[in-house]
Amino acid sequence: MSFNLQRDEHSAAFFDATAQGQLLIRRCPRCDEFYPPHQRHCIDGTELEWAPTSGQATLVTWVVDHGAVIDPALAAADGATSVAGMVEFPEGPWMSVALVGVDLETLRAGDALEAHYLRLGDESVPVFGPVGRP
Amino acid sequence: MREFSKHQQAAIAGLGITETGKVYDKTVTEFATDAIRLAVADAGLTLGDVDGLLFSNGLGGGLTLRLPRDLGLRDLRVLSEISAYGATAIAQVQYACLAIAGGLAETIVCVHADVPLRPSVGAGEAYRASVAGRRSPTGFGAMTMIGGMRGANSMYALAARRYMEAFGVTSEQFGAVAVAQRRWAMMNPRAQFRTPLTIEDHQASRWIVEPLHLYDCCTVSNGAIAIVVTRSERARNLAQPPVYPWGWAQTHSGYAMARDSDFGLVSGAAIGGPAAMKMAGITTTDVDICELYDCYTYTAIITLEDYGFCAKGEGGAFAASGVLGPGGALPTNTGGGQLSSYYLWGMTPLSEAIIQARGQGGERQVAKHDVVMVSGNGGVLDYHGALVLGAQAPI
Repeated sequence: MSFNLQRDEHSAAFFDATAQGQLLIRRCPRCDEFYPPHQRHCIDGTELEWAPTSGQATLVTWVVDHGAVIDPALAAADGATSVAGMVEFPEGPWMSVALVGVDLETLRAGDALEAHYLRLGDESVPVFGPVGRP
Repeated sequence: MREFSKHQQAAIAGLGITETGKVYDKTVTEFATDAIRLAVADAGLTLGDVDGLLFSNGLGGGLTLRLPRDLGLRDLRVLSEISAYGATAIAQVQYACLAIAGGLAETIVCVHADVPLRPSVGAGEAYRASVAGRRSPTGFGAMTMIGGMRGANSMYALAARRYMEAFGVTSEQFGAVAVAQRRWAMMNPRAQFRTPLTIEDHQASRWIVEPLHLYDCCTVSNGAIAIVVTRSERARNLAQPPVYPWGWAQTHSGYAMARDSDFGLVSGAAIGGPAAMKMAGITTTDVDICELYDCYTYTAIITLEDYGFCAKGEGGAFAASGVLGPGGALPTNTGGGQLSSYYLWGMTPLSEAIIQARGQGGERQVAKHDVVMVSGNGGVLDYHGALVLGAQAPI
C-alpha cells in the first residue's frame, strides 16, 4: 500500500528541507540541547528551533518486520524487506527511520549510516543506508 | 531485620480468575463482574463486605465507573480506574494497601479485564485493532510507520536487538525462557498452551518482528482476574491463607531516546526491585519464586538481571542454565507466564504468585514458597512495578 504521507503544520519545515536534500533536527536556543525532529519543546519548556544536521548517523538498533506492509517505493529501494532502525545523530538525538540497502548478515550496532531521500507521494523522506551508497 | 510498617497491615485474601483465552461470549464488564464474584467468594466474603473497587482496563477499554452498579455495590468508600499499563496490578495492590492503612476503606477489590480477541481474527491483529481510536497518522507519525515500525512488537524488538548487540545474548538463550515456562504451563490446567516446546521449535517459529520469534511473544487473552485486599487481622479469619505484601516500588524510567540512553539495556526494575526488597527486608537470596512480567522472553531476562538475580548481560546464560524451569534453583513464571498461560497484564504474574504463596499450585507447586518476587512492566520498559509477597505476616 502507498502511505499517504501528508505534511502537517508541525512537519512542514522539515519536509521543505528534505526536498532540498537537507536534514533538520531540533535545538534548544536556551540550553543548546539537541532533540529529534518531532519534538516541540525542550524539557525546560523552551520552544525548540530547527537546526541542520549532516545526515551522518550511527546505528543504535534495528528490526526486520517480514510481514510489514510497506510502501512500494520503499520496497523497490530495499528489496521488499522492511528494515527499520533507531539511528543516533552526531548531536545526540535518536530517530526512528527506515533502513535501505543494508546487509542483514553483517549489520551491527555502531555502523555508520547516512541519509538518503526517498520520494513518497508529495514528500521526500529520509531513509538511512550505508555510507556512499548511490 | 524488617521494620514494621503501618503500610504493611493489609493482605491479599481472595483471588478470582475467569476462563481465559478465546472466550467470545462475554463482554468486558461481564468478565470483570465474574472475576470479582469469584474473588469475593474465594475469600469467604460477600459483595456486601466490599467497600472499595480499583479497576483496570486493557487497551480495548470498556470498564467504567458504572461497574459497581453491575454488581449492586453500594456506598463504596474507594472507587477509581487505575492505569500504569503492565505495571497496573502491582500499583493496584499498593494503592489498596495504602488506602486500607489510611482508613479509607477496609476491603478493596482490584480487577483487570480485557477482551481484545475476536472470532476469526489473528491474535496480533486483534490486539492492535483493539487499540481505540487508531487513525492513519500524518507527518512524523507516518514517517515512522513507513519503515515498518508497528506498535509494541516492533518497539520491543528494537529494545531486544540493542540488548543482544550490547551483551552478545542469543535468540537461543531467549528461547530457554519460553521452553522453561512451557514446562511449567504443562502442569497448569489454566494455561492456554500446554503442548511440549523445544528450543528447535522456538528457533523454527516464524518471525513476529526479527529478532523476536513467535515463541518470544506472549499470548493474547480475553478474560479477567480480581483480587481482594483487606486488613491483615481480617484476612487471617477468612477462607484462604493470607498473602502479605512485604515490599513494593514503582519506577517509571522516563529515559530519553538519545545518546547514552538505557533503552533496551536497563529497565526501571533496576531501581524498583532493590527498593521493594529493601522495604521487605530481604535480598535476592531470600526469594523462593519469581513471577515476572513476560510480554516477551527478553522482558523476563532483563528483569532478572535488573533485580540482581544475575549480573547485567548474563541473563541469557542464566536462563539457558535451566534455573528457571521445574526443578531449577529459581522457579520463575511457574504457571507458564504470559508466554504460555494467559495474558492479563500484571494480573498474570500476580495471580500465580498468590497461588504459589498459598501453596495451591497443585502439580506445579514449588516446595519452598515463603517469598515470591513479582514484577509488572508497562509501555516499552517505561513503567515498572515491583512487589515482594510473603506467605507469613511481615513482622
